[in-house]
Amino acid sequence: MAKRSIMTLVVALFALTSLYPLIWVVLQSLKTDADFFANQWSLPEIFIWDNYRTAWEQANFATYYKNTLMVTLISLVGGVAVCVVAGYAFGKMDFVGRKTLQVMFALVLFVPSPVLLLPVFFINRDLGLLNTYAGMIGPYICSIVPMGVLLMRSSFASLPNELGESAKIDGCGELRTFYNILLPLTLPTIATLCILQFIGVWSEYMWAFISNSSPHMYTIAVGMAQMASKKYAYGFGPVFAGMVITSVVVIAVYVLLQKYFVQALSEGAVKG
Amino acid sequence: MPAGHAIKKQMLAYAMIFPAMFFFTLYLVFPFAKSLQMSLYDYDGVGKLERFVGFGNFAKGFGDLRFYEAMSNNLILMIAEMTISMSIAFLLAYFLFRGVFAWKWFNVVLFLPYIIPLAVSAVIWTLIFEPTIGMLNQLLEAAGLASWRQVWLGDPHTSLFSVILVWIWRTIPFNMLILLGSLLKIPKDLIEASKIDGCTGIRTVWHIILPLMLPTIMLLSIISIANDFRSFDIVWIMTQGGPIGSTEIASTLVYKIGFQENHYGYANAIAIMVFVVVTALVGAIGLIIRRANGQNERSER
Repeated sequence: MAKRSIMTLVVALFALTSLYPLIWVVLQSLKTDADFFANQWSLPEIFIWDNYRTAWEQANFATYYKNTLMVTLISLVGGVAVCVVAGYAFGKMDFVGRKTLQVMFALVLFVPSPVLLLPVFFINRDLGLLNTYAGMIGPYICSIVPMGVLLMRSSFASLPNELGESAKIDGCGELRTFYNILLPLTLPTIATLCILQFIGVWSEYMWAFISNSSPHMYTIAVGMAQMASKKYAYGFGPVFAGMVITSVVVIAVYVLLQKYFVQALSEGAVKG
Repeated sequence: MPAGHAIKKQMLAYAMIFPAMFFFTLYLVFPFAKSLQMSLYDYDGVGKLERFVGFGNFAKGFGDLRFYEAMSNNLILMIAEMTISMSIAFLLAYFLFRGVFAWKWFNVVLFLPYIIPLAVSAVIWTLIFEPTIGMLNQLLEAAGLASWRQVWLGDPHTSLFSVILVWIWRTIPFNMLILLGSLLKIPKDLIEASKIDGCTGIRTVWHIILPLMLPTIMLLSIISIANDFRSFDIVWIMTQGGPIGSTEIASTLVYKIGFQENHYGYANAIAIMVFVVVTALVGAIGLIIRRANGQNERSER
């Protein structure tokens, strides 16, 4: 019992270092700057919601939010669909070059992004895709492809072949077998991919920062960081509010889907 | 099966992998080739690639102090992450595994630093490290340690340490998650048996649990290396690699040489040199895993 209490105490201390910075941000986002400078440990005397309005309207968070939503949604649906379809071909069909491509996908999983940063920038420049949604979405879809295809492949490959064969005897074509019979059975893996892609794209900073020179195209991660570097112009309160706005969706999704989240991340790491 | 049908089936397979291959080729294979090509030119970002310099950029990179500084900072960051972050993560995972009170609740909370966007963490910690209004200096003052106060991010002596601290804070949850998953897979009766044999807690960890987790730890090391050399947000937002290069890492150096100094060919050469180092590190760990597996098989026989 004593042992268990000591262990709990240690874990609680670390939990505090994880949680307190976030609570701190929420508290300061509800204070005036004078209040913040005077005492950052206290609860706000009166809750000030103005900081959120300043961030949303003056600091353009409304625009950033719209951009992030659009880019995340399209990258999520597009990226996962692309992986599912290819995963089926890799897992359940035989074609020339299948093994080679599979090995290639596995090899590129560890290419560090600085190598691709500059050439992708110039490719998109030559295609006229800088400062566009498409210029962000393309690389984001590509970012899930190697791991996503491999995960979907093993998910489809693990389904017994008899399932598909009996469907074909009943007169289902290849595509209908895929869509009606096998696809529903891989939903857990699809959910994993959705979570990985959602958190990856929503929080992505480096590419969104390099690809967009126009503030109208910023995602919230970039917009928030830009605003924080001008904290003396906007005031600290709106910066704190901006951080809350940026994180709240991800945290909400995490708390709601906690079980799936943990599973998704460990699967992505161990199998991918 | 008639030949026509088989060909049709092949075509369908290619049609199904086409979208994935399209993005894969356009944004991974092609850029990689383009990066190799650009590294051989002196290119300021305007017009076509014209001034061919052969391996000149690489030769310049080998003589560039900034490259060595960035690599050494990045390696320090990596070693700190792999030792400190993984040790703490293991400790927490082990405690959760042994069963602390309210462990479900802790499981959710401990994971938060990994969930919030890295850009947000970077801004939060910049404010915590802020010399006058920052939480850290105020805490030190309140604890009677006023002389310990620092200009954390502004002083080259403490800046790298501060950035690493945040990186550790950020990476603990992920390491913990993977290690906990591996702990839960260890057969319970093995641990019970070692207790009956008189092993105490720490000896069980050292002789039974750690050896069994070695493959996971190795895998985690490979993931860590890749991530440590990918990190950009945290350094860029907190210090932009400064002051005087004290927190420069591979990605920020490539960004600076390229987008700020407009030496895109040279930046690509540096990026490729980083890539080679990372691949060598990952390869070395892969070899160790193979060795270890080989030995295990032999000892089992």
